[in-house]
Amino acid sequence: MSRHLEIEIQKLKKRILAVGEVVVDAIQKALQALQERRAELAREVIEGDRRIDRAEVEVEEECLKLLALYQPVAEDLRFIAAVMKINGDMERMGDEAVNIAEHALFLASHDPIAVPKRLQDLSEVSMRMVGESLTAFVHGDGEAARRICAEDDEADEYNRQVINAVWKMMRDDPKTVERATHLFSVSRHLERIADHATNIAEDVVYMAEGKIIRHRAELPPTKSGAS
Amino acid sequence: MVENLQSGAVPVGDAILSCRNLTVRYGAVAAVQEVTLDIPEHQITAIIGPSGCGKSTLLRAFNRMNDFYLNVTTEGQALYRGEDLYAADVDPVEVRRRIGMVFQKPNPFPKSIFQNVAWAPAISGYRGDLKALVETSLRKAALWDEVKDKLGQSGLALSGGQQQRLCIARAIALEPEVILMDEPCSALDPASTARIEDLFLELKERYTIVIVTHNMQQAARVSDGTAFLSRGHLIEFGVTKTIFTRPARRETEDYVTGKFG
Amino acid sequence: MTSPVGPSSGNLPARRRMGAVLHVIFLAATLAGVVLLAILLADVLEHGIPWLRWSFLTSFPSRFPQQAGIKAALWGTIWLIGLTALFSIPVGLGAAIYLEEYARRNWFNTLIEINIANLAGTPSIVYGMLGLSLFVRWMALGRSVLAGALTMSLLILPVTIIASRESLRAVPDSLRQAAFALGATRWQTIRAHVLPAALPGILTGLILALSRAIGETAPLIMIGALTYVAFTPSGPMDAFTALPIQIFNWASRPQREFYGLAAAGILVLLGVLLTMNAAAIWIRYRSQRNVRW
Repeated sequence: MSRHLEIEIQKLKKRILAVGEVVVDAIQKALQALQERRAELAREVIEGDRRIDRAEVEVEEECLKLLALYQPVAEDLRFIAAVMKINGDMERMGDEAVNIAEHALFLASHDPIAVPKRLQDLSEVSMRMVGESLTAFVHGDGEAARRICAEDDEADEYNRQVINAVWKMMRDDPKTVERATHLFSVSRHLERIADHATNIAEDVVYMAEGKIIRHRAELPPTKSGAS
Repeated sequence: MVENLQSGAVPVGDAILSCRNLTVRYGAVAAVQEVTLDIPEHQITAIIGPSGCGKSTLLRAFNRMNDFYLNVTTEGQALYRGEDLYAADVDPVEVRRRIGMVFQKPNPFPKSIFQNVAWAPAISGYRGDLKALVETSLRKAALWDEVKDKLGQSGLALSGGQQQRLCIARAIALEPEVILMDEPCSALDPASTARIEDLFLELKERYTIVIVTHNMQQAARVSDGTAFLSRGHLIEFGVTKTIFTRPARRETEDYVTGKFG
Repeated sequence: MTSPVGPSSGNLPARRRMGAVLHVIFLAATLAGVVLLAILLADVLEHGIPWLRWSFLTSFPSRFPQQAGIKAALWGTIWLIGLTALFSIPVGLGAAIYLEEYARRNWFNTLIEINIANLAGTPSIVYGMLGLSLFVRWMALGRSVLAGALTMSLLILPVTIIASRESLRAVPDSLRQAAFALGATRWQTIRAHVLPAALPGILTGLILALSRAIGETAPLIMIGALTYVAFTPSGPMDAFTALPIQIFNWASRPQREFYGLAAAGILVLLGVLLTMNAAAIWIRYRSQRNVRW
């Protein structure tokens, strides 16, 4: 009985990681479309979101099936619960990528505008957090996951700095206002992607340690891991 | 051993039964090894573990039913409300009146339903109204409505699930404080099992129940606290919810997820 | 029917033949015993039935065949069996209960068990000698029905103990466990549950043991049962005779009529035996219906 469950759990893990890859790819493509002003790349991302939505439904159904048929407990139960939540976060990250692509589409069809460096930094941090959270999930690494939660502050800080920079841009040259507001939005979407990556990290902590660390100002791990 | 217990996760409640470094041997083989455990009152405590881990032996230690086996030695303490059950001046017959037992295979006496329930109180000197006692006990065991018109019929004529409820009624008739159950549902079909599990929840209010089960889902459904035994040792004892969501010990985790045993 | 295809079906016809042959052989073995018994019975019936009248049962023995009857022997046997049952039940049952329910597994009890098994196979004449010296002489009971009954009790005691133990053992342990778990003492458990459940088996065993005792002649002769008795016992200390003795006595007379009387006596003895066995079967039948584990 348990061997069947183990096989199913491994299959589920592969599935969610496959979805993760697609989502990471979408975010990357959207950012690339923004930087290089490529409309057709942006459209690819927007079209591709259908795939992500479908995958999200399939993963959720698979999780419910495992719960009903196997009544898993302890670590198996936590794993499936974590996957269900990570699944949701990933689908929303895909939506954020679509949003970025839509802004990229607009900016590509208008005059170029200077993208603040901080936006570049923010996109690097967010991408890194997404990658690290998925890695932590693969290894069930609670410590690494906690570190990601701390990085969210960095992303928030960068977002603020981007907003300041764009404000300055708008004050200096009012003609850029319409295009600049799109930059505001892109920054916000990237910051949300970082939030979702943080959620995934919190789910990994639950999966690994059985502790729910949401809604708490969680410090980086101390020696005893007390919370 | 105290380090087997996870502080903060032990079921809260006064201990009605406990054991301290209890070791039970059949000849040279120790079936129960140095177990220390507190059973809280008015709760359902489940004892789980793989076959041969000593859970039935541990259960029987509490009502001195191990005395009937050959070559049994019991070391350490088994306490009932703080008193040593194995002290020299303790009468095992008296122990068994306060601590009742229901067995795996329903074993009603080949007598009438009424006689089944009334016999034990009668022989231990009950002076009240036996008919009322039989009715009360059968009601508490959720069997009265099904048998009230056929109390004279043989107990063996009932179905398996009914027989087991009759055995529960029989045990309750003595008004014990604790009821020990050794895999009470393993010989029953799922529907009867479900009925009896519902019964446990009602019984919990008046009695303390200790149930040995190899069915983990049953332990999860029914109990407040769960103790996990493996090869005679107590590995972990905690609140059931914790044992089944994030147990403290690796062995417990492996057992409840079915990776071994 | 075509033989099934397969590697091991080649010699199926030969195996069937062998089966049929053995079937016939076993049947013949069964029938051999039955046929012999039937011949014996037919002979007894042929010679005995003419002599089987009511007056046969109510008359005392006599030199004259026409007036001879079996009354003394019949009543002697009845007295004997009654007293034997009276003595062997408590002792046999008590011993069985002790050995089965109370005794621990030690060398002493094992020794007792071995001895009982050996005693069961001891020739009955040995019991006769024992009865003679112990009951007739040492206890000064003389040649009484009492001495005879005590001797027969000793004779059937081992078998009674063994049969009672088997019946007690057949009571499932779960019943005892249930009773103990309800806070009953050992005796309360035995009295209320074990004995009633074992009783049919015990009674059956007892009756079968008594059936064997009825036919025993040697011990009775040894302790001095009379062969020519014209009265029935009116008390345990009276002299007596028994059916097998009377039959033997008649069969050894030269006159042909007495041979018929002996046959009639055998028929009476068989009748008593059949009645006892029927009672045993009836008890067993009644108990099977009530008690189903």
